[in-house]
Amino acid sequence: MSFIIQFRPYPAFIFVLAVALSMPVAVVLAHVFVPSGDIWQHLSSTVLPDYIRNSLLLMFGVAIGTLLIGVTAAWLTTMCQFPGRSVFEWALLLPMAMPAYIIAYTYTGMLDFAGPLQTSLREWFGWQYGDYWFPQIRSLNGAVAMLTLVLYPYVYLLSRAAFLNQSICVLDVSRTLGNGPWKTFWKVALPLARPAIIAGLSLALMETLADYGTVQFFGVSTFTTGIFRTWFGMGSAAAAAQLAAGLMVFVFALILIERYSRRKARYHHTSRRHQDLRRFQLTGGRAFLALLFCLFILGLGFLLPAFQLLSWTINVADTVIDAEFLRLLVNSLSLAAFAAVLALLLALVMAYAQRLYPGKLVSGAVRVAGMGYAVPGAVIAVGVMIPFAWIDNTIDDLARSQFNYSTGLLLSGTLVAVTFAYLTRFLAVSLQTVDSGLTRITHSMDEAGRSFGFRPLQILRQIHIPMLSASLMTALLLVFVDVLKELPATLILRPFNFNTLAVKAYELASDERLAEAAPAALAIVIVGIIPVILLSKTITRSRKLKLAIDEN
Amino acid sequence: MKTDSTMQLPQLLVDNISIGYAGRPVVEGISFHLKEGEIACLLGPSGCGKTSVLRAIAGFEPLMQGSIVLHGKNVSSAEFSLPPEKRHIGMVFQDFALFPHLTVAKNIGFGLQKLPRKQQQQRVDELLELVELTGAQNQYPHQLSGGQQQRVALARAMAPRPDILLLDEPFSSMDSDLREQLAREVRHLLRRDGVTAIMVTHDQHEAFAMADQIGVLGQGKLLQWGNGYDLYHRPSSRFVADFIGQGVLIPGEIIADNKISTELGIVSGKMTSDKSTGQQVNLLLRPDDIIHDDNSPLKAEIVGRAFRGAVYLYTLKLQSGQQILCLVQSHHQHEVGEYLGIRLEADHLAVFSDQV
Repeated sequence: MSFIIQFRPYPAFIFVLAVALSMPVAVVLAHVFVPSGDIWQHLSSTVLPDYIRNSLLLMFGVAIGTLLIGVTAAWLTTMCQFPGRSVFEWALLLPMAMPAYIIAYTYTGMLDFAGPLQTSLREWFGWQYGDYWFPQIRSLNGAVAMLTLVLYPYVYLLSRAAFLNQSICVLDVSRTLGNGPWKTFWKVALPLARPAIIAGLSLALMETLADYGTVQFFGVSTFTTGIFRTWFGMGSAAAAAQLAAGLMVFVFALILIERYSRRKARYHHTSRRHQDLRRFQLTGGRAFLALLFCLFILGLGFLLPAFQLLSWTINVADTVIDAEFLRLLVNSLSLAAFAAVLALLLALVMAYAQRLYPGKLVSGAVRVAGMGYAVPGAVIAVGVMIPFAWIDNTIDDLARSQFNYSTGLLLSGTLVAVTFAYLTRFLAVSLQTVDSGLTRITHSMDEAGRSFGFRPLQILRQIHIPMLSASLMTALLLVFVDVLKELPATLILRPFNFNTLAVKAYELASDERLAEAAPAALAIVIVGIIPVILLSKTITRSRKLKLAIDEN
Repeated sequence: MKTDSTMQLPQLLVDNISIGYAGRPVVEGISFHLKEGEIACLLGPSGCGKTSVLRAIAGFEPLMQGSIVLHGKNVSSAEFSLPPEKRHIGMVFQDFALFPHLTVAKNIGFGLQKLPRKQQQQRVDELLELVELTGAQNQYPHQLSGGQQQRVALARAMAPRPDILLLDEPFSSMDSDLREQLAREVRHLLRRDGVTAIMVTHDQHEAFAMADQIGVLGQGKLLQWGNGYDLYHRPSSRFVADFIGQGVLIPGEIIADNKISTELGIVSGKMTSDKSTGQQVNLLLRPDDIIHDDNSPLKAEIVGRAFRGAVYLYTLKLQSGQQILCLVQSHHQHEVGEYLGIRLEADHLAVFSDQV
């Protein structure tokens, strides 16, 4: 046995990366032990119970809503045949393109006292203010409704995949054993899909916890709004970090549930062979109801708000779309593209490290580096800000004492900090995509290449790059869009006077200049459609792909 | 006057059924029937429509024409289809389709939920014993081997004592050397319980090991219905002759009743179909119809041989270039290129007209 550990630069680099990328979360968690004195006392005796209560209520409501909508929609589009089914199959993913804060302010514009709906109601019935009751959109219930409308696709997507993967034979067996279609759904299909449904639900709930724009706009105090208030209002980084740590407790619980469900889902795989799906043919009233249900969801979650955004955009186009808007656009797109490329490069470096140095250490490091996706943007922002500010101050102090010169802020409040935050949060996305592409290139393919006398570089060029290109493109696009939509981290970390589409839309909306916010919001939604298209392609292909894999 | 009790009604009557998708028939005009306790098999290459027939009996496919009568009850016709859950059938699927979220015992008991709990338990125990899985009742399907999973699937289908058991390629996911043995075991189980069953497969050895009656399907039609011996020795069509067993067709002319003149000389035996004298036909020669005989004046050149353990399968070339197959016990060693003395010994003469 040798005690000399050989130093290998490549894996060592991976460790350094993993340490750097896990720093924000580590910093936040470490702050649990940092005394923040009176502020924490104050928080826990006044607002903290509210944060917890609201976060729980929000999660509860969104859970119920996304489950009902997501599972029903998945079952209808997967197992039933009705007019428009094949369109709804992918169209029901469209609400994913709509960030929650955007749909929230769009509905506010439509449903508020001065909005078109209430105005016309007053005109038609001659009501005055106070004459009638109208649900208050800017409330906890409103937030639940908004988040449900844009987050149900997570549940839809995963339960749909589960229904598709269920061996049709399993359902048939239940029929031959004397159960009708409904009983089969409750006794077989649903229990089998349960792990996948729960995994989808925990993703939706992670997004709920990460949401800042909606709850802030609707005046619902949760952990994320609390972090902002403590940070900017009370100026206490430590207390903000402690709130962030509190939020992380919820997130970790969800991660555990999700992991556990996915593990269980493996055993819920039913079959290696698949028969063609034979969908239940819905006719008459039932077909109409199914169509109506899907149309209703799609309308509320996407069509209606998108249409409203479009009409606002047309109204204000002359005044809002100017040189400044273009600069905004260029800022956002180039920042997103830069982050996406960087994330892709890091993902490639990590994925190949895993391939070249198989073993627990490297794969553990890679997993740590990819942890950030579940972490809310606000938490990451706090976790990035604190150490970066410390580094800046240390360097500044040093420079001042040694050279009598102030370096100012080198990292915090620069694009470096923002980009670093994006990387921690979204590296997992590109990592996962690249990794799944790379695992399709088996080692025996490399060996086959070598047996033909190819050198490693030739193998890379002739086998890996052509096979990976689609995955690389997907990884780029997904991170690009995620960065473009990201609000809280950008809001905290962006350099002074540097605006992105998301920040601008949010700021204008907060100032009740809803129509003026529309062009930026619409741009985000349009870009957001890209991953929806990618996803819808994968889900229609997944069945064929699965068939192909099963035959091997 | 005959009463119903003396006249045995068929357990399953499939009468002239056609099945299709989007108006295009995949199965046309199929009829057969099964007596109670009989085990049948639908045999055919993939895409011949055999699974569609099975699924029509189960109630998963509607009929375009014809009818299916199960246990005296009309269950399917062009206008009407009783839903699968009301047919009282059992089905074993290709992939077993066990419920992964339920234990072995719960899987087996799945179709027994209408029975009182005590009877359920009793029946489950009975079946566990029958398929020799006592002790595994609390395990989950993913903890079982392929063979065990298959027995659970069988037990689950048999548990409610269905009027008929339908098996869809039940052995296709098994190792090929296990299939025949499993088929025999399943046959034994079904026999013990007197279960009427119908299996679908593309593997003739499975069919021979399992079934009393075999129906050969080709291109959506039932070509022949009979036992293994008949299919092998008295095939009614070239398709069946090709599909079952090995053999070659050699040209010949009918010179008299039950006499055919071929390149191998005049062959006599019982002709399996009516053909008139003078007609040009093709005669089916199975490898076991050609006997190795060193003393025979008839010689053929060996162009290939395959070792089959107890026997060699030789490919021989006649003078005309026509090739035939011959089984020879493996202690007779002959090299490729040598000439082998052969003689013809066929009981049944399966002849087919030129074109068909």
